[in-house]
Amino acid sequence: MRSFNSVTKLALGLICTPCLMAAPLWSAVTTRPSALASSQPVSTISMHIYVVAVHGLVQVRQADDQPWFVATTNMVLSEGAELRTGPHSSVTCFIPPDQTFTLDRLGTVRVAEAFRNGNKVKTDLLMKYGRTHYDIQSAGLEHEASITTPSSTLAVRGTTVSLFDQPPFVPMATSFTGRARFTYNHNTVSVGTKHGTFAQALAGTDGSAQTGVSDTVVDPRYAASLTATDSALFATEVSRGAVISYNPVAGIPVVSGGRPSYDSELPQSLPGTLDFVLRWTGDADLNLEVSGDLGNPLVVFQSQFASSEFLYPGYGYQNSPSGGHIPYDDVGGPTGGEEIAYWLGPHPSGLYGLGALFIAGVPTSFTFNVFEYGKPVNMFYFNSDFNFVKGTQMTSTIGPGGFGSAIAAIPDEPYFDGIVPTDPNPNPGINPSSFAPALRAISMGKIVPSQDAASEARAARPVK
Amino acid sequence: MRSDQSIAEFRVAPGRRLAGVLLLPVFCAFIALAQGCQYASVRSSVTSKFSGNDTDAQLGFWHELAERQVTSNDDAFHGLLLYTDNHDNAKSYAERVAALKSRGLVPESFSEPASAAVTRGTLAVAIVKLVGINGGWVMHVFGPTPRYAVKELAYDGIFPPSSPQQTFSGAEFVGIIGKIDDYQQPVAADFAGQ
Repeated sequence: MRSFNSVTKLALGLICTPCLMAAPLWSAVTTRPSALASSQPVSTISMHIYVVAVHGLVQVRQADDQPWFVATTNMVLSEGAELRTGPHSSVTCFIPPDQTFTLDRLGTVRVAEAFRNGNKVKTDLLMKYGRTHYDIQSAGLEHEASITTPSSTLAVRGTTVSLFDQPPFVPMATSFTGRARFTYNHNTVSVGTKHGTFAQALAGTDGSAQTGVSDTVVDPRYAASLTATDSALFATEVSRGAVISYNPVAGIPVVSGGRPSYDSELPQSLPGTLDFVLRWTGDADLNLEVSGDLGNPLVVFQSQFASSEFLYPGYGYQNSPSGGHIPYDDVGGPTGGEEIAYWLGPHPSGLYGLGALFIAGVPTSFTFNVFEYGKPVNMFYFNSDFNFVKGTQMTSTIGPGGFGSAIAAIPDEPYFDGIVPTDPNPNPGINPSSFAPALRAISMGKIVPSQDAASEARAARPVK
Repeated sequence: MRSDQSIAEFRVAPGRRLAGVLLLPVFCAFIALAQGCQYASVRSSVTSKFSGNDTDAQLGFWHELAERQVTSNDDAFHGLLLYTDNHDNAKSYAERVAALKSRGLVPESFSEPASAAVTRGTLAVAIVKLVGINGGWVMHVFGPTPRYAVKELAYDGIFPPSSPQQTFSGAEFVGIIGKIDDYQQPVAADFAGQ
């Protein structure tokens, strides 16, 4: 019998009633052997085990030196009996008055102990391998029951549990109701709670909670698993022809294809109160890095930059302690890509560094933008003439092994703005014309880009 | 304490030492050629001991196999036939292989000896066909190759994460058959909380 509901249990009780009534005739209730009697009180009574359901191939033997017999329904066994099952098979046994266990397919279990001492019932099942379902109704008796395997023990007190222990799989304890104690590798954890419902604990975990978390799979591509902000960002990317997938190694959603936001679109699509944006136009994969030294930007500047916040797309760095977040890793496509780091609500002030790391592809132009509360913030960087300048938009080029960088003060610091000159070369940013043939040629690797691709981009712009 | 004379006996002359150094690779090559890369083999199969179809023989086979260090091709194929048909009427390993080939569970090119340890890849291909797992696009396009059959079964929780070249111990093979049983009878598995 492979399913076992309350109706079946009632039926089992009815079946076993005649057996129990006739038990004295078979000397069913006997005192334990003298060897055990020395360690147990005289009132200890060995209990009988009734085979109540057999499905498939099931054999039983009373001791190691005894031959195996085919198990049949209503067979009466005693302590020391061993059962084994084949494929598609199971055997259910009833230990009066309130215990039932089922050995499932391809397993072997021995009833090592089954005795009653006054109001206390002790049962120990030794399961060599397989899966055993154990149900104790705790009908006014104190139970001390356990299922022991070569690697684990499940201690049961009035509950419904199951223990699976079979190589090459990790042992697993399941509590359907109530609480059990699962011991594995000298570590004991609780499975389930009193009057609780279904709980599972995988061997080697800290219990049901950790097992539940590790069993939980939330596909971060689906809208229901995303925040409203990230969901809107993904929707925007998809509307531009991007494909969303997931990188299980980096642990972050991946965007491929699509295109970056144009300068005119960017302010409307900013998700946070503080946004760092990296956009590029070539067929390359760039990654955005944001590091921050939090505090007053002037104080931080005078005390040298020391990063206390770091954001990177994936590998656990997509979230920072102060609330910074990179929602996805854009691996680019023929028309470039875009990565955003943002903070929602209040964000820490400080001196922030932006980095563009070249991962793969062909040399491309890229653009940095920083926005605080939707307003562009000045960045400080070296331009193509190696002058340290400021600008609200920085466009440069990057190739294999390259790294582009800029710093920004949050909030915008007038002192820095006053001492650093404005970039004399206006950065072109990204517009529909950025994908004109000249720049596309650069992005496709047909032309070796010059030091200042921005000038080429400007050259590519239509003459008004 | 060893005498000086006896120590001298253990000393190796420089010329002999050089010869030894030169001979070492030759010796290693000889050992490699003589021994070669061969399968782990099983000396006595469980199938030969429990070849019948009665309950005693079948349960004897499964639970004796669970004690073995390695599962041979013969034992694995006997187990597969017992699992699928509840009996194995094949009189020999050749008949067993022929029976599995006729069902397409084992490739026609299969020619490994009975005593060789069964590979997870061979077993995985048979299982995905037996259970009817279609897999992903690779299996749809190229059919169940050992590599992708193992990956698919690992995804379904029937195999542990492993490579197709590995083998199974007897207990592991029995555990795998149990998992196939769970996969095909999910009600029983649910009942047991799996």
